[in-house]
Amino acid sequence: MAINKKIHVLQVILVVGCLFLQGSLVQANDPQSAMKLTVEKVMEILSDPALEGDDHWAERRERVAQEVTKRFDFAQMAKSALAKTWNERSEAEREKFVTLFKELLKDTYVERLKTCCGGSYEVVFDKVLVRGKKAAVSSMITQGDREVSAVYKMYQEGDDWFVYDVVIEGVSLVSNYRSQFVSIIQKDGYEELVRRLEDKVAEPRNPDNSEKELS
Amino acid sequence: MLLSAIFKRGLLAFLLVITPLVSSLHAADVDLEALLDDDLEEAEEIVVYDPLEPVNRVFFVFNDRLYFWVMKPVGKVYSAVLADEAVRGCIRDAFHNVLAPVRVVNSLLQGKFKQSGTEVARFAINTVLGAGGLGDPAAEEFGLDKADEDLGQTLGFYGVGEGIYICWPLLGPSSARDTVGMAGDYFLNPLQYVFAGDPGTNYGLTALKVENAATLNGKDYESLVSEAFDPYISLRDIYYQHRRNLITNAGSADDQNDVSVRDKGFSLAQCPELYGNGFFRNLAGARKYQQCLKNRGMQASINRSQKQGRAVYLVIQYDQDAVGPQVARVTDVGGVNGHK
Repeated sequence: MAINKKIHVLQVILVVGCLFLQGSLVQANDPQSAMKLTVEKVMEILSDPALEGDDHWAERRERVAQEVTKRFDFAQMAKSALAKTWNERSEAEREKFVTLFKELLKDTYVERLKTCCGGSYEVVFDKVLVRGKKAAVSSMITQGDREVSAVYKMYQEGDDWFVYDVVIEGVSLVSNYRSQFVSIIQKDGYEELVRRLEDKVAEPRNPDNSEKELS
Repeated sequence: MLLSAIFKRGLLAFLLVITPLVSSLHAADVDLEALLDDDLEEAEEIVVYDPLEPVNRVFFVFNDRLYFWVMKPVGKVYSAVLADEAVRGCIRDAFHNVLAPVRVVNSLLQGKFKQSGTEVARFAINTVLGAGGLGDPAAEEFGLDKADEDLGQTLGFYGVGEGIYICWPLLGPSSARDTVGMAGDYFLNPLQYVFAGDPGTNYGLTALKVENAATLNGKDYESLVSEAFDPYISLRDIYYQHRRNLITNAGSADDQNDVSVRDKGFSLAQCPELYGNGFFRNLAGARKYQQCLKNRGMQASINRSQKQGRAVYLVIQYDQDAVGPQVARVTDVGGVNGHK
């Protein structure tokens, strides 16, 4: 018990120390620290008492989205989700698609944070594999007795690392979108896909109603 | 009396022999190596054979309606009666426990001897100490984690392809291969024999199992449906990705299991490529990893801690330039906060 407590105190000191160091000394020049930095910042926003409650929902969402956009390369995800179709699109079409896809993923990410991780949850980064300019950063999200593995696939550009896919419990997010997009394009054409994206992005998102309904 | 004494002693001896042999396994192990094999410039498309799509879609809609119209309302009542999520977790564990023969046989068929030993030990511990599998002391006290094996995976392990995709009414997503697997596993389900003369009880138990799972996993299904452009395609893709991941990664052959990392695949051969914090179930593994980092001029400390009642060893890598170690929320592993 005494040892446990000692470790705990030590850990608090370390974490507090890290928070101070974040801005200055610790640079995000390896993929794990880069990802940790983003997760820490998102958690800070989510646990900020000044941003709690439904009134601040829009602001909280915007702040989280800002952090996520810095780390996630939505343009690369969009390109990869379109597969071969990407090459057949004009510059303007690509741009429009990326903008829509970005909006969609931002909403999805923030929405997920709200529904999946309402209570107390923990993130532990356990392993990194770097191969050339690509890396897989693995983490374990624990909530109650549930454990979810999340692997961030990242690539290096200059000194920084960016996420190009998220693999949850072995299921790749980008591949999942790709399978749906390819099927829609085959059946109804590219224009229909864009129309559906626009519809999805325009859907109203109400703060926290899903949680109330289920609990 | 004598019998029970012999049984107890036998069990203890058995556990003492088996426990050190097995290493930790996690159902959702992901092979990081394979993940990086993709091409950023050209995305590959996974080919799925779905000639039955029109019929499958009908059954998909049927299952979807069944969930929203029947299972969700029933689930609300069920959850109200069994309000505690932990109780529903126990019921899930009990169903998992009783299906141990399926996992033991299929681990053996795939040559995963340690894993099948783990399953036998888990079954013994959880049945005796966990009151028929209602708890999971095997994982909590002995560090023997759950694995997931079935005949569909065994067939996949030996190179049998999925065949066509099938969405069964009531049973949900499957493939030709996994359907054959399901049929085979049916004969390894002990409940089949216990309630052989009583189909009513058998169906009732199956319904309870499905309903119980739905109250625990329903949120996931709902967010999948609400986020997807085409929920049918999305679910089909998730099923295939999940199954392929289980077949290629979960519970690798025994010779790769000597170093126990939380998420497997770490061997000293890989050492030059790895850095960062490591999460270990045993001290020996943590020491090896620490040494691996040290050999390349990196500092690392080992912290013993507890997570959900289990001992874990966290190797924290120090950054040479920074004053303190780079740690994100290490407090989490302390087991002090967060858990119910």
